[in-house]
Amino acid sequence: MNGPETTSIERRGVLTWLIRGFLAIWALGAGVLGISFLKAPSSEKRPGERQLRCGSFSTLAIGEARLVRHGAEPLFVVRVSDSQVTAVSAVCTHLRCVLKWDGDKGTFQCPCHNGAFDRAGIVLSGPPKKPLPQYPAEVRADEIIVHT
Amino acid sequence: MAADAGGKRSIRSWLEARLNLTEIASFLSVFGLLPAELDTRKPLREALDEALSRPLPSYARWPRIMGILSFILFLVLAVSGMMLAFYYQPTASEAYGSVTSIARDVTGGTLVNQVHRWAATLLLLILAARIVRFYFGGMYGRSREVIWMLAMVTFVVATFADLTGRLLPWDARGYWTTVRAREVTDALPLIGPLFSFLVGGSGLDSLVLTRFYILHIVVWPFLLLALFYLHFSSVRRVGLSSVADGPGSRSLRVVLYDLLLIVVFLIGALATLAIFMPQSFDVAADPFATPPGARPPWYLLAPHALLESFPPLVPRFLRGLFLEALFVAVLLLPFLDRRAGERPGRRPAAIALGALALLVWAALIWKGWHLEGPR
Ligand code: HEM
Ligand code: FES
Repeated sequence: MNGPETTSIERRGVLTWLIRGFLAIWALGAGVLGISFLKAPSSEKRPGERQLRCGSFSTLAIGEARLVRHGAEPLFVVRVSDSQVTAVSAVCTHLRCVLKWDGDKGTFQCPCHNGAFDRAGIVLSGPPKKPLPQYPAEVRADEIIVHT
Repeated sequence: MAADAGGKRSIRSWLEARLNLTEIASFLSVFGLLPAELDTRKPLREALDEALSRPLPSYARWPRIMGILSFILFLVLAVSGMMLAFYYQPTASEAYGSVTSIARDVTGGTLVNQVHRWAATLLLLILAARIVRFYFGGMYGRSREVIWMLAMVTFVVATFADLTGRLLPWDARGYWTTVRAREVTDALPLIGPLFSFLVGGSGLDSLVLTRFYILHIVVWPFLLLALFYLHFSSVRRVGLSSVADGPGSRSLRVVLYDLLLIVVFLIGALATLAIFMPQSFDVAADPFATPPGARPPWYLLAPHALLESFPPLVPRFLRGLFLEALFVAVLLLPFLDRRAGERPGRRPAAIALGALALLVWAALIWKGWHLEGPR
């Protein structure tokens, strides 16, 4: 006996599935949208902005380092010779303290657990295991430029 | 119905005909204000009379006050926090100026700030003490499993609330405490990346500060509220713990009297701490100079020490995984230890283990403190 009730139930079955389908799609969409909204825009910079101007070259004595106060990754520029400059991160590889330049010893000293690094970022002593990351650096018209 | 009773007209019966007062009272009592259920179909007076005709358990009396005490502290935090939020500015350049201005220029600003700080400290201490008490009392046995797990999760969420609060003033101590704390969270697989995702990066800049702020004033408080709600509803389902049973029945008047006593005592303690032991702000944070003695907050000292005491060869994520495994083991304790609920004398192994764990934890806190130089 296939009365009108059966067809309406069947139709309702289809409708139920349609509603479930839509709800599932929307829930998925809302989830994806929510997560991508929360994802902070990446701080990846355009090529021009990756060049950091780190002050005058001639005022930096040979063998000296200068802290560059820049963003979350501060760095040191080191004048290694008459014409050459290098750049290393200023963040200790042990627990992220900001290093200090010790001009007398010519080393980077960590204020937290006495880690020490040399001018090239190699670990000399203390708990740090990894060397400091290096950045390419150059001199342009007496200005130190670091590519970060 | 109630409004027509005897033709008498009172404000309550006028309201009763328009609002379900019993439901409202029942909602309030859900947060531990009344240890009895109200029949929400009945008018308020009738429902109260009925609930009170049954004997009330000894409630809001030592040692069962920790739940209600933590909820009252939460209310204090919400009120004082909202007051601070009237002035606070969540950007790296404005934050320090705004909190120092709260302390310096706003009438009562120092008091509100100190009450907020001390209430946070007390809340964490009480939530931790509650876990210890549940453990040694064996109060995580049959049908109290959920209460135990909620206590654990509530403590963790409260530490996150405290952690996000500490960065807000953007002073040197708060800033570097947060840097250290993030060294601990970053070591945790899954939780570390999730937290970094939520706060918008692994560094500490203005965007991260703003997100700490939103987490601090909206997300964690709402989560805490939900957890308190679940906790009290579970207590009302399975009843107060029978282990520490005091004198049996009490009237509502006695219960309310006990509650008022707790509130008076708490506010006295908070005001005393806030006035005589203020924890003032440090100098403004300088992201380019680490001050000596930067260390994680006290509740992360032990995890910090644990992470640092592995041999150097063990990768950091494995150490973090070990911490997480410890936490999960404690969280699932009710399912691992089936002898809970018995008197302490009958479970000597569990008591000894708990005492040992507390000792090790204390030693780790000591070690974590001494990993860093003096302040
Ligand atoms: C609705 C809830 C809350 C609001 C609206 C709120 C709001 C605030 C605001 C605006 C600040 C920054 C102002 C200042 O530092 O003086 C702050 C700081 C703080 N909050 Fe909250 N808060 C809430 C809940 C909590 C909770 C639940 C905890 C801890 C468990 C907590 C712990 C802290 C801490 C430790 C600080 C740092 C205070 C300082 O360094 O002086 N807050 N809160
Ligand atoms: S953070 Fe530099 S030695 Fe520990």
